[in-house]
Amino acid sequence: MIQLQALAERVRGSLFWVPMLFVAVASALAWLVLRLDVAFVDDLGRTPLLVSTTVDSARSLLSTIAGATITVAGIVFSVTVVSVQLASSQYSPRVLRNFLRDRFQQRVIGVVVATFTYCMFVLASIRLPEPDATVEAAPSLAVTVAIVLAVVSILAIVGFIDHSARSMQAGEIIERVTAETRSRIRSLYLPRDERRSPEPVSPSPPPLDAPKRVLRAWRSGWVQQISTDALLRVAPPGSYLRLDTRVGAYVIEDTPILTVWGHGELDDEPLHQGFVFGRSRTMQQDVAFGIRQLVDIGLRALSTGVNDPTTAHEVIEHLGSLLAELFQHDLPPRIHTDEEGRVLAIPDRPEHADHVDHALDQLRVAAAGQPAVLVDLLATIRSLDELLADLGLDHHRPQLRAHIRLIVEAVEFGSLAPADRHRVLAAVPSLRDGEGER
Amino acid sequence: MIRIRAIGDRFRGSLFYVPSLFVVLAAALAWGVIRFESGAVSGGGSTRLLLSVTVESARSILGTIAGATITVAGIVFSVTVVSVQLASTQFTPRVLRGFLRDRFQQNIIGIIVGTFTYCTLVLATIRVTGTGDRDEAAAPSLAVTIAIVLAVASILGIVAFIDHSARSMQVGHIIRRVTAETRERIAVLYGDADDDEHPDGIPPEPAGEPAVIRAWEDGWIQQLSERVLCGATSPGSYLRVDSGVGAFVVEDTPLVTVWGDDVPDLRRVQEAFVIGAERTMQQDVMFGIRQLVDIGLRALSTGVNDPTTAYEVIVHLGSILSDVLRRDLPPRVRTDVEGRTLVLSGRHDHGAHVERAFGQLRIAGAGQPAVLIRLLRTLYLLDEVMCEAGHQDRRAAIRRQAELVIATAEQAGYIDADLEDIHREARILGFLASEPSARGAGHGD
Repeated sequence: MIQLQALAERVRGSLFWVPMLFVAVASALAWLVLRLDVAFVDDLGRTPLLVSTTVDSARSLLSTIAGATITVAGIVFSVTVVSVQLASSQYSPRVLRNFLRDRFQQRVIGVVVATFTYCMFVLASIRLPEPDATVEAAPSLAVTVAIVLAVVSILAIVGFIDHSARSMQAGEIIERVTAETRSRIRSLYLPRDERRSPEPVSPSPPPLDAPKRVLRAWRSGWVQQISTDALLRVAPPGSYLRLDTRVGAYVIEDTPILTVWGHGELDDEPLHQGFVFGRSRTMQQDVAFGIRQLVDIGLRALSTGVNDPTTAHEVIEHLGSLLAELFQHDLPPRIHTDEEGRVLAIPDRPEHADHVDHALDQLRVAAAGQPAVLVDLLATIRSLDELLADLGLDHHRPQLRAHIRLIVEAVEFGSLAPADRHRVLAAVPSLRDGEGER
Repeated sequence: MIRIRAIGDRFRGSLFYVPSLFVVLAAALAWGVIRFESGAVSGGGSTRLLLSVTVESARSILGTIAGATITVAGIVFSVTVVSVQLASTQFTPRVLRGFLRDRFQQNIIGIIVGTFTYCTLVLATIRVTGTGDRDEAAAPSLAVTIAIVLAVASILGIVAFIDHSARSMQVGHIIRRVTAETRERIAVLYGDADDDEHPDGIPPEPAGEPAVIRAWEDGWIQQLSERVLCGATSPGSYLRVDSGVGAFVVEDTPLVTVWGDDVPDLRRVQEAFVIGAERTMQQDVMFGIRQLVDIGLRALSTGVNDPTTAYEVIVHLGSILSDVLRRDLPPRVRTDVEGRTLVLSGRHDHGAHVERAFGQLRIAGAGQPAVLIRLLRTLYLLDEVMCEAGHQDRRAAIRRQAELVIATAEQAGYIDADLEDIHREARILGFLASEPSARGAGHGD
């Protein structure tokens, strides 16, 4: 099942699917329009409502359109690659991965190629109606359609430029990553439910007396997806499985990924079906990767070579909103069981606390020299703390307090001017319930 | 033998080989189609099933296609050079060297040049036949239809080219490519242990005055054929080569030292070495590691600050090292049936591979606790693989590197909390004493 999903992802991402569809449509359109033209000319002699052209001007018109759209599209696409390259050196090489692969861009490519094909086919069928005719009777409808297509292509190219310019703005990228991560959180995690019984702190120990076997990675790669259902289904009833890796990790060939305790036959092959390894990290099951991308943009913005604290500020705000979303969801269970007594334990499942650490730790280190950014971090932590107090999630609050303490420590340890140091320390929130005092 | 391989490499890498193949094919196609068509037309009027084209239309179609494809290709290729340049300042100048040289790009260039050739050739042969009206005369319809198909193929080819170049300039893709190439080299070069390896280290040099062969030119040693080198000396000789593959030799510095009865044959010694202007991967696993480390170092510089790229580099280095560590390295000492002894003192051992992979990254990553933790986790995974394979001696190199990472962290001036994180991680992974190691912690974010 998850293998199928991965395949579908690949087909949808294929570069030629949409453009080829457009070429087919263009050929059909050319055929149809030429047919119509013949019918009209037979009935009326002329089609006065439309552009009336001579054969010669129709020819030069069509070849101009075909040549021009293709040339312009070539220039635009290739120059865009340069801007993508510039943008990725400015933000992070991971966020602009899908250039030329999103649906919109593929449609633009499709329109341009289709216009070209259409013009070629119409051009091929233009001729003088009779051997000695001097009357001008080019296929007016076909030429009109060609002009319309040309205008559409040009507008599409303008749209493409606009689209790519906008999609390379820091704000747009941050917003997009945030939105994608938020939708992942909503689909992977469960809405918070206070009645849900609390999880055991540590998973029950494996039955050590049962025979144990270790599944090792059969290739190196990023763990993109793990299907708990598939793993449970193939294990013999009553067995205990423990995942030794997690989604978003990189496994090296021959390192353990799963340990199974239990009696009964079990081949490696069906267990392999439960894992999808790939060449890069993807977001399908990986909320941490979304956070990672945002942090990367922030780190790049804080580097001495870029020095763009405003982007870092934007990143911190969006990280805050993602963390808030996370706190309003319960994580998927650490232990999966089924009716036949199989148990799957996931000791490495990231906790809320892990997500908070990932979001804040590296930014704090990189921002150590910039008091304004530290103040932003403190403000975000404060609003998260208020949210936790409102939600009644008091057990998460000490961790936020620890982060505040780390910032304070970094400031006191660092070499800021006294005034700047005071500025940061003044921003340290006095947390509700008075416990925030150090 | 390695001469031929080097020439073959150069030929396959030549920019014009594939495109000229396509040009020849296109010319043959044009000739065939025109032949076929003139036969068909004289036999049965016109080919009704296809587009029926007049001479004038055919001319403008072919002219448009030929002009447009060449223009677009010219623009796209030249702009791509700019992006390659940008990418190489961003990552490292060495990894995008073969950009226009990969097979895919050459095929695209070939398709475009082929389309152009085809169109011009067909255009040249179109003429008014018979006595009919100039405009009504039948043009080669099949030829024109093929031209349109080729044009669409060229355009999609260009789109694919743009997409391919955009993707191949992503750092993740570059890292994967270098890793795959390096692992393939490892599989070829590092095999199982040879039986004739000297168990007790390097045998002592014989007495007497050796003949010293000095380097005949500056350059990187790209390849070295041990068999050819031995063949250049008399049986029973003792040879010592101080610089290994991947080293830079300066003209007139000693390259090979030979103790033997006869003076070695200089020409054959020269044949044994391939010395070139740049390092290549053919026999040089270290160069693959070097390229990855360069990307990681660039990412860790304060002007870039991209620890995630460094992380990606570290895990891929881990997968290369696990290949290296699981294999036996080629021996430093070889003897052949005629009693020659060849000592290659420039060969690296397992520990050198680990140090080359992680040494510089450890120092550059000292400012970022997260990077050091990644290093520790990767070292742990390698340790695990070695433990499983039963190579206790190779674990020492890994554990030594882990100790260095911990020492680097202790000297880096972290605040206490960050240092404590690293110590805790090291304890969990079993690189620091105290509580016995639990299980392998996850390895990711």
